[in-house]
Amino acid sequence: MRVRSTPRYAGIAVIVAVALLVLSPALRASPRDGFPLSNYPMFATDVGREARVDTAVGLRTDGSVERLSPRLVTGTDEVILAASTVTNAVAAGPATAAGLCAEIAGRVAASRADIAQIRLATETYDAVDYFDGQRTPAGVDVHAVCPVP
Amino acid sequence: MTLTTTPIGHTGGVVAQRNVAPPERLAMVRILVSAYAVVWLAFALPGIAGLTDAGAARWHPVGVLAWLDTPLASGWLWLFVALTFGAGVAFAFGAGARVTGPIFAAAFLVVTTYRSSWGQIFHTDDLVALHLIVLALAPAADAWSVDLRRHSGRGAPARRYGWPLLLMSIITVLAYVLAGWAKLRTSGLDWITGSVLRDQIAQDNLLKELFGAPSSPLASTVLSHAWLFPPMAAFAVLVELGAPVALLGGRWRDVWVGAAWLFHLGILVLMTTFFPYQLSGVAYASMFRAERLPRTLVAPFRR
Repeated sequence: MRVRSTPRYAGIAVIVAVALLVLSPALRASPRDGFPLSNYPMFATDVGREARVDTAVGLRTDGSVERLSPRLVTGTDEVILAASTVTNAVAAGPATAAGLCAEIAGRVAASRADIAQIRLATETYDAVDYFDGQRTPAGVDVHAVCPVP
Repeated sequence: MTLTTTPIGHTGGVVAQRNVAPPERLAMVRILVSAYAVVWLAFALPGIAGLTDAGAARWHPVGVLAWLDTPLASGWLWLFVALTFGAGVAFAFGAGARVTGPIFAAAFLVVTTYRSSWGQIFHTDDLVALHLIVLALAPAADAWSVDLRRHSGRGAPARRYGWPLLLMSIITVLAYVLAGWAKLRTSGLDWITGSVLRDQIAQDNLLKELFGAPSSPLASTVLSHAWLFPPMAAFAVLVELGAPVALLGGRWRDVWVGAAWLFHLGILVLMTTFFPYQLSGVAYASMFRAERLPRTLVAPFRR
């Protein structure tokens, strides 16, 4: 005989189990992010107005700054991935920062003849004031500078 | 009495329908989610390919790849990508679904986990991966499938077609509830009444500017009006924590899905962050009588 339905209680048990699994990242004593199960922490934290952003920029010979696209920084078009890549490299120390700097310089060399150097730095802004026209960073803490070959 | 004779409620809600659904409903959701995932992968492929050249120092594995100390070898990655495409198309057509469904879900999970293992977790992919797992384990090819042509005829409405849809809907709802809960747990009511949302939007757009990417054209205008943000924050938390009402079906579901869609539209407009699964509507397909979609789409051309 063909079984046409899942027993009700088995179905409820599966649903409860899956629900607990989905909720599990948030039920931990210290909730943590993950994939595809997550506690969805994005945008939850009070980050304040002051933004300290680890950046990778191009420097022209006259010292002017050229913002680099995520593709030049990481090889993909994802902004947050590019930003986290720079942050992780800076956090890992000077050697890792220098390694990423050289990696970016290699990508830049192929497409941007006007850029002489790459700089990894932590730039500080008031994020709200930035969009009110105050675009000069309050501070620039340089971690690595390397030439574009 | 067999479940096949159980009447289907008229509200359209997954709970109100007592979890009974026709096989076509689950089949339509299978087609929509599979097609979405395959198309999504086609668009995401250049970005994924760009990661294969990344240095091992950037590897921060999560989920099913958390055990890997070094990046997944590119040969394996391309194998999983090929499996995702091949099994995905087959599953969308309902061909060998008992095999292609699990392969598709597993390969998609590996590919998306790989993408999220380089320092940024792509929460835009969470629900798709979870929904595919449910569909892979469900009798999702009992209608509108190549498998059906090979085997028996049309199936009758039954709970076994309704439970997977209910499960998918509950997963969707829980994702929103978790996001809302995280905001209140982390920042308290300040998330609504304070400047948390304004600062988040400002910092997100600043990040895009500093990395030479397009920021929201509305950022400057909106950020200069601080009074706008508490109502927007309240709306966001209301949508997230109010998600369970979608399971009631009928107008509750319609209003919530509309609000959730607007919520994601707002994120796109103010933060240029795109949630394609939600904005395409596919994320919410399990909550509706999806089997009516073909008729609805064709109706205007029959007049």
